[in-house]
Amino acid sequence: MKDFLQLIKERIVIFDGAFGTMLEASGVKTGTVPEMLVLTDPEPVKAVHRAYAEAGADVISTDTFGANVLKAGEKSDEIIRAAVKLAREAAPDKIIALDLGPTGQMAEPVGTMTFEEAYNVYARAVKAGSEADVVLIETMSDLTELRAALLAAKENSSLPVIASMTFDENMRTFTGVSVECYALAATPLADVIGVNCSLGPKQLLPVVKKLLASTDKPVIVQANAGLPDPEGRYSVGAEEFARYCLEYAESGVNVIGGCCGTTPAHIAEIKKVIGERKPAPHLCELKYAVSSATRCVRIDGVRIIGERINPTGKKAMKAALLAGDLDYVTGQAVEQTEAGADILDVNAGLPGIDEKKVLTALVKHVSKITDLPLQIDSSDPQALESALRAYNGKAIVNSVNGEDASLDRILPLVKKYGSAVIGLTIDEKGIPKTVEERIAIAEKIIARAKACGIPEEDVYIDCLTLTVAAEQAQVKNTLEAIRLIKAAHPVKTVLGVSNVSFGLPSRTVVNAAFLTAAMWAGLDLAIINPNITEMTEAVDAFKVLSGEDANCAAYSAKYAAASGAKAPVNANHAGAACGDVTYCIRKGLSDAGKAAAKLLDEGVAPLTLVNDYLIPALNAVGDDYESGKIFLPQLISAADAAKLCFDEVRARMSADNAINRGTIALATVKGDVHDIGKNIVRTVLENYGYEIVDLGKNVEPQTVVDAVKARGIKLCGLSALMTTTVKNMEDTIRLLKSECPRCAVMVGGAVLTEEYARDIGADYYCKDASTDVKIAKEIFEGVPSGITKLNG
Amino acid sequence: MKIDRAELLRYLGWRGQPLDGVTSDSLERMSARCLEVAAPRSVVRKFAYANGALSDTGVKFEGSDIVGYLSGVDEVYLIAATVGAGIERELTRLTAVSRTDALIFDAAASCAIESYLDERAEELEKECSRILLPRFSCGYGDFPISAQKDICALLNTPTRIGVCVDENYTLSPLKSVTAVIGILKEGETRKACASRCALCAKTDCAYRRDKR
Repeated sequence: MKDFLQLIKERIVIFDGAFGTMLEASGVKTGTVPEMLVLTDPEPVKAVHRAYAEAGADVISTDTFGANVLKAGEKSDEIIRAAVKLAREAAPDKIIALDLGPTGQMAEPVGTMTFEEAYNVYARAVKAGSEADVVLIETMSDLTELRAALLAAKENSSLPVIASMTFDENMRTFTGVSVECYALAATPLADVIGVNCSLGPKQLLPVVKKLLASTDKPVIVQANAGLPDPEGRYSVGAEEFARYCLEYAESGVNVIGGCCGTTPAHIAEIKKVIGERKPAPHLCELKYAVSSATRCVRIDGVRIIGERINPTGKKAMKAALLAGDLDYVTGQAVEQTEAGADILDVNAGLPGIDEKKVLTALVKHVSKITDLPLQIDSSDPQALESALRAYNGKAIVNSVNGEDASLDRILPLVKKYGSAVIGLTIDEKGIPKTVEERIAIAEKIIARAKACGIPEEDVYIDCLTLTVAAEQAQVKNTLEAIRLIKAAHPVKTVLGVSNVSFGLPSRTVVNAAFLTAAMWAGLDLAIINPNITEMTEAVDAFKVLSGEDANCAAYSAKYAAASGAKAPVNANHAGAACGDVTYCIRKGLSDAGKAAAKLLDEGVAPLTLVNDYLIPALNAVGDDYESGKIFLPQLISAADAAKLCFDEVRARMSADNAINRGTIALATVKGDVHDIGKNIVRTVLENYGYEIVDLGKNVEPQTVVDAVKARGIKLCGLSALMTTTVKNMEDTIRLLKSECPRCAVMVGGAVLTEEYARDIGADYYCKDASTDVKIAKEIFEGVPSGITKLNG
Repeated sequence: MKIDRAELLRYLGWRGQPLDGVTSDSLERMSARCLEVAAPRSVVRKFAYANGALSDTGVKFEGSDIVGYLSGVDEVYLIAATVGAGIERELTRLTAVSRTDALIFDAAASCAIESYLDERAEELEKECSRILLPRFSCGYGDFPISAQKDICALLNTPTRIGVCVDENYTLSPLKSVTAVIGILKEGETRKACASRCALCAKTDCAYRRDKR
């Protein structure tokens, strides 16, 4: 038997075809775990293997597609071991592929399965199947699950690993992963990458061509025999199927087989058409790119890296990160995305913080809010590795420098996870004074990266922005170094721009001019605050002048509207009484913030504004909602408007003086991902001046208890929408009551009733969002709510 | 697939209150956005049915309502559909931007998946020469949501349309639906007034259509 990786170099390798549809056709009753057959009735399984071996397949896949522990239960290992043995017996001279399909569970954030849970499932399966010759991870649609599977395979066996995802006609997987994003994420982690299932061979062709142009790894394709009709019949015959396979081979595909609906006849026909053909070369043109799970950003012009998610010099963000409140960065992520950033830098470096934990959580959180690729900013290798593992794409690592210690520790991580990396032209001797010294350090970094297997296209050199007020001559050196590096090496360059103006007045004037000069010198990646209009304008203007913005199309589209005399009319600006803050809140108008600012500017004290204007307005809205005068969206738009007023109030109050009527923990219980009700409650409570510790959805009971204990919280709100997850709500309440007996618990959710709430041990039942406010007032201010206390 | 304004308002608990500019604007924008982001997909398969069980599969339905619904039926379609994970990502983003928009978008997505399923059922009826019953989903009456596990397994929903079911029988993406559609035997007739809600015994449901 040949070595798989050797064989794919020599000729096109043929895989076998469908399993499930073959067994079904043979009349075997399979039930909901078809792989159980391996243990209970192995003969039909062996017969399928033999048929494919006789048809000419080089590789036989084990009957273990759904044999993972989540689908097959505790028999999993036994099934996998037996299935490998069975395949080997049936086809002793063939290569045996351990076939692993998806877990059947949806990974976070859409589902509840964590990266670690998925990793453990695949690690276990790979160990059980260690007697196979190659690991095939196929029919994947989620990148978290695929990456977990690939890392589990690589870290728990020495076998070659094949990755294969399933694409729809829109060229994306079911979870929205594009072909480029898949290629960038999977190429570094697999030996062969490819596509299978979902479409027939004809419909899959554009996906295959795109993949061939996006990876330098060998490519595998296993199409379906068309799409099944409601009776389960497939329509593409062997000859037609094989014709497309020939086209795959001619385009550069290295490994070809069949998925659902294919038969030994299909494989025999493929063998007949392909024969001993050598693989055609394929050219990967996807260079200079980074990606999230769903968006690929090519660095083929100037790109903006948003710098705002960084606690350095930002008191409020420091406090938020130390308290574990990731929500604070949500606004930063949204604002920078909308302001035109292409990539976001994420930094959690603070003294006294568990950087590994917080940086990883931050990377996951920001990835939920924006589809922009991330730049992971840390000098701690452990924090970097943990964040890179969690990141669903090709990130930029910020950064290495010319010191051996930095290169030795960080470059292997960059290589393993296939990231790009920023190389700072600084070393143990400090910041270089001359252009030549900068070039020398850059060249050392480039050479060391190359020796590690990191190509130049993934190295971004930072020639260092120095402060012009302190070292005026250095600005020219920085620009000259960029020019020379770009001329000598096929790398990209990056700069943190705003440092240049440190200590000067009107910093934006200098920053924008420096940015423009740097772009003309050859800067590719500008680390800036994209919310400052002058900076993004400088980039837009450069793209026009340099010709990157062909026909000035993007510029015209963006600025034609802006140069009109008036701002577009917003539906929110209706009504004559815009200036009245109470009116604005009651009508949910976005002018509420401005009206509040005006009152504050006129001398109304922040607390007076809250007590005399905002709270009465919210009370009136709450009453209207209860009496049915308004409905839920109107209650929430009033709350959204009031929030704008509170933002104005907070901006004018010192941190020690902040309004806090009490701290409340909120969570959607373990197993439940329906959090819209919890989010509504949060919005309303925040507006009454309560501080909310929002623990999110699918929250472990222990996490709730930990948060309540850590902050001495007196009121906790839990939500659950499903009858099946109310059990977890009960468990959470029981744990809370035993560990934090002084914390009152209020519960809400579609399936709950007052009686049900009492039965599971809750203190209060919330029928709607305004009930929560009454309960909070009772707990924190002693105002009787009139709401029944259920227990104790 | 469409998002009917009256249906959207029903999901949002509207009871005839005057609609202001902010709300109307959000209803319009979020309906349009939802249709833009939605990537509807479905998978259907026909099974033989007798005595509360899908013959040849070992799957038996629990609850008397589904069995009552399937009287006069010898074959069923199982169907699963979703408007896709993109809807969920957009909802997460909107929640960070505007709670009002997020609330309305969520309801709009519920309308979208229901309307998509209605359209698929109509198409099936056209393709099939026999009469189809209105669809019956897990959670209607006493048909338990745990049946979603079997339906998803029989339809291979994770690999066919990207829909998973977890240990609490929640579908991911959330805006996904599974259903049984009865195919009447030759000669059987559909009873009058067979709206989905009329079939269901849960008369206290907040979303019941015939409730006043």
